[in-house]
Amino acid sequence: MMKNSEKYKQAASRITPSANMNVMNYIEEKETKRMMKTPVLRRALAVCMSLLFAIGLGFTAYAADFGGIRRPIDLWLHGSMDQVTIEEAGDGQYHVTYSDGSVRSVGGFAYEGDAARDLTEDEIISLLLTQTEVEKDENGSYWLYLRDHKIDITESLLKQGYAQEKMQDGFLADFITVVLHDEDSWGIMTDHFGFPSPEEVRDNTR
Amino acid sequence: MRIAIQDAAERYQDSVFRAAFFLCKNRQDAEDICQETFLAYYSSDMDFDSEEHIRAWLLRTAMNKAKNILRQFWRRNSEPLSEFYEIADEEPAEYEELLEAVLSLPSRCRAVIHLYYYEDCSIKDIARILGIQENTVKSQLHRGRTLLKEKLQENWNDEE
Repeated sequence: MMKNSEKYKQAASRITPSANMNVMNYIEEKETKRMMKTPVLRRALAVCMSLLFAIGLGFTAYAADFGGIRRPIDLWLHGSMDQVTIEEAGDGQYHVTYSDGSVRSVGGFAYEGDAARDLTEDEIISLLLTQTEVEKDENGSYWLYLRDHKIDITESLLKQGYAQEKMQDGFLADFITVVLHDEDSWGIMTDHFGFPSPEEVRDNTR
Repeated sequence: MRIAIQDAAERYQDSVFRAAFFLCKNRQDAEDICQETFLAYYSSDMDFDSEEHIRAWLLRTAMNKAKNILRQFWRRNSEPLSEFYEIADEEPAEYEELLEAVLSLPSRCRAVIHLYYYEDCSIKDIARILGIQENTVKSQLHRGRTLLKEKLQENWNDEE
């Protein structure tokens, strides 16, 4: 009789990446972008943005023609307001297209009693508007984003393993604790009435 | 020590991809994670003790990136296995059943089961890769095996 490990190895070996994936090409592309001189990069981005604005207008027209399938909205992206389109993709999923051309698949559940239901488009937009994000940039700095706030939390994260920031620009303050699990992994928790402890964040997000 | 990025990709690409896939359950996400993991290796100036250390580092990095994706509100939905897994005629049907069963496990169990049965990692290695206690690995492994036995019955042996 075949052992569990043999059977599992044979079965799992059938799961393979698509032909589109090419690690070496990906690294080469990223390295080429990194080596571009900043002024050139900025100019290139400015050109791209103007082109994307034209495409954005096209999306609006598409939405008008087809009963509002694509809905233009303003969302925060990296501390700045960005005009995006949100489009229902079926099965409770929505596609959010940002002005830089990137697309995010969005979805979620809400629990009412014991029953789960898909989040509505308005609920998803509301969540996206209040979403706290942390990103690590190519220089190794960690940035915390919430609405129009963009805060460098690198020093605290690297020194003590966590960073805490309070933001109050509305009725309720946001107390945010970010814990670094390791250099590429972190956990975030937000509360309106005080900072979640680093231990709590560590335990709940690992 | 280090090995060239081309050699690292050639040797460990499939392992890294599968580890990510079995955690995030989406092929596109797993491909993104795989590419980002090798980019991290390429960008890192870390000196490794051995090739086994490199493999463990790659798996740990991929697993962490997959965990981040699992935490993201906008992560992609998981795909049905049948979308990209074709069973050859001569292949036992129990393979697909086994994969479906593993993919239906809670994420922590899934990661432990995959590393134990596919990567042949020890309890200690799994604890290091996932950044959890050895006792937690043991309990997740036990839970995973119990759930797989319930789902697969005679197609999952009682061996440890």
